[in-house]
Amino acid sequence: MEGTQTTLPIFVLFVIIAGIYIYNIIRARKGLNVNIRPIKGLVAIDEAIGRAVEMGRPIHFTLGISRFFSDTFAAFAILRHLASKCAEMGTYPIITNSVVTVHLATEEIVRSAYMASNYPDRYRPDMVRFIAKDPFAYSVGALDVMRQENVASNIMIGTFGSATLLMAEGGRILNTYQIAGTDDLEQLPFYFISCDYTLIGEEIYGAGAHLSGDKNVLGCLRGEDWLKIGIIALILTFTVLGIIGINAPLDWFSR
Amino acid sequence: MKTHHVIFIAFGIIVIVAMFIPSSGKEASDKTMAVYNAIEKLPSGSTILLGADFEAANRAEMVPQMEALVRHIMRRHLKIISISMWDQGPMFAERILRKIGDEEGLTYGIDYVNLGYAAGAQSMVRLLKDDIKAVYKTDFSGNKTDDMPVLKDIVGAGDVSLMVDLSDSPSGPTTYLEQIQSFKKDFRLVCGLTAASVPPIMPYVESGQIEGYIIGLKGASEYEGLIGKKGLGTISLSAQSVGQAMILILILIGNLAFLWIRKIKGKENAELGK
Amino acid sequence: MENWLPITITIIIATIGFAGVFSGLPPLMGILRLGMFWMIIIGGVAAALGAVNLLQIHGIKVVRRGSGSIYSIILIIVMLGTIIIGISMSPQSLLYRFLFEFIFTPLSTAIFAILSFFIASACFRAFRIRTAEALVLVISATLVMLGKSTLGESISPYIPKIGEWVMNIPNSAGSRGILLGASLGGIAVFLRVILGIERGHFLG
Repeated sequence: MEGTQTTLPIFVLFVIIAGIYIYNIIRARKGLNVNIRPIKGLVAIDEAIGRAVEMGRPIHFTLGISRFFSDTFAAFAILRHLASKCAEMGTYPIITNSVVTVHLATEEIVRSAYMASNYPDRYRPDMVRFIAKDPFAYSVGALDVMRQENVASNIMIGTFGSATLLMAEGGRILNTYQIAGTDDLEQLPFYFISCDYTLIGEEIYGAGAHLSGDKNVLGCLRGEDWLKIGIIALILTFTVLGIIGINAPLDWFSR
Repeated sequence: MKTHHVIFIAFGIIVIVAMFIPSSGKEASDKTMAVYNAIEKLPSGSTILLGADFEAANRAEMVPQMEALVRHIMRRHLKIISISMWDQGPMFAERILRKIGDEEGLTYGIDYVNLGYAAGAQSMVRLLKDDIKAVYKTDFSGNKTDDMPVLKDIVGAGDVSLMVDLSDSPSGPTTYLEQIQSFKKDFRLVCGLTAASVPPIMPYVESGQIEGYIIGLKGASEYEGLIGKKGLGTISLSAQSVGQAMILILILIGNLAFLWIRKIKGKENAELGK
Repeated sequence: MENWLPITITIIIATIGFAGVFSGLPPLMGILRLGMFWMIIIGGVAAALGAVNLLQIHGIKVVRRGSGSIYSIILIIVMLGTIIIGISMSPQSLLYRFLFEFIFTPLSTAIFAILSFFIASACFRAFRIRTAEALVLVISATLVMLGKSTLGESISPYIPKIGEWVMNIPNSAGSRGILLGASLGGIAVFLRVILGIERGHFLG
């Protein structure tokens, strides 16, 4: 397969990035204290659960149409926390899915969370439902489920493609308390105008760490901070070098 | 009747009435001209990879774009290989390619082909980069691709002169950039997008990785003006413009109402304070 | 530990794929290529799995005669009918094209069109100038919207230029920042998967 090798600069970059992540994961496992700034949207998830318990109504959770990309794994962490809390507090989650492979994973996550809790008998198989593959058909079906089940809160972590506004505004018209998060730039504005709290980009990746205290994710968060500082330094360096006419380093990266 | 019901009814009536207002085409923007020039400057006989990466729901914006682009490409006697990462796009590609192909006197299999949908998204495109026939053993109609004249000089997707991706999501063009252009720097890409899909791809346009794009109905109308054939893009423009004006008016009314209510509440609080 | 098999497979395939991409060695590239072909097959099978799952859920609803079971009956009939027509007559057949162009497409487009009403009511409700940031949001949204429509051109030829500037400069800067953050997060997830420490979807 001709031309499939990536270039040396990308490999060098990847080694540096991976090294920083692995170093920080090891440090976190050894007890490094990683402080996470309070993210309102994540705190709001516990508020959403509390609201549902008080009202005696279920919570709706969805991962949208994402298929095992990075936001899906972040959503799994939030779902695990949600299912555990719902099991303990006596309310129940309804998870609707648009992707079959993700549906199978969410079934397993919810079931395991209930079995690990003090109330395994509260688990019901119909908590996790596959609606439809098409984003619009899924959104209409999910909204119908929300209406029929009279959900108190709606948590959307992921993207719905073109159907995002349908889902978000539909949930608002049903008077649900809405929390949303995505790294899909196209859909963020719709979440902002229709939801009570919105998580932007890597805030959803931090969800695993914030909600579960997972040391691996905590380490990655610290690594990400280092990398962002490094990227800012690189951008400034290349900008200054470019202004004074030295383009060789940037050309080496860009080849 | 709630506020949003009133808004829905008013919006619906105004947009329906606006559909009967005739509209004229608009002057092309820089980005639309870039797409036009990218196609116009290709030598005759070049091959274009056409991505039909949109769903039926977005047909209102994407089909006018596709018709205008395909008409331009076929008039220039450039070859078209149509593929898709999503399952609904090929149905539209089949209808439009056949219709315009017949109008321009071109032959399926020799001048153009619709290979249809292949599952796997990123993996599929990665494999497509090296060997199209390994991914598509048959075309959309079930014909074997082995001896198809239009695919004779093309081994992988990276061998085409230009890719025109019609996508209702920014992940369409970015997938082709990640899986083909990352490895083949001379792979050229222009796109047709829905209006909402433009912001996330702006960094790629600024860096030159995407040479140009046409946006939604306005872009389709601009392109129709460039090729001199008025179509759905131009006809639908009035309704879209009126709809956008209505939204701006609603924002204004919403803010005026908000300020008015705040003023009244301020007076009430002041009187209670006394 | 009962899930050691899927985790092991994940680590092996991810490592081979990664090594293949960076080394370009033919044996590794061959395995990577095979893996990508399997992705295409799995993608197709997943679609079929979705149909099976839908039949299960709605079949149970029909048998139990739950509320809305009439819609489940319609769904099953239409789904099976479309599958049978598509397989037996091909997607090129008149009947299949009729179903797609005159039933499925208008329904999809109609639901998409509902978004325009939702946008209108959302704009009326959400674009309230409560803070300075909200004012900046409303002004930039108005300029971009006008710039992209024929209305803006009719008001002033500068409006499309200003709208384009907002898209090219502030929007691009913000988009790049979010894309960088999301990409770094994606690399972190990949590393956790390849090292076998991201197992939530296996173990629950």
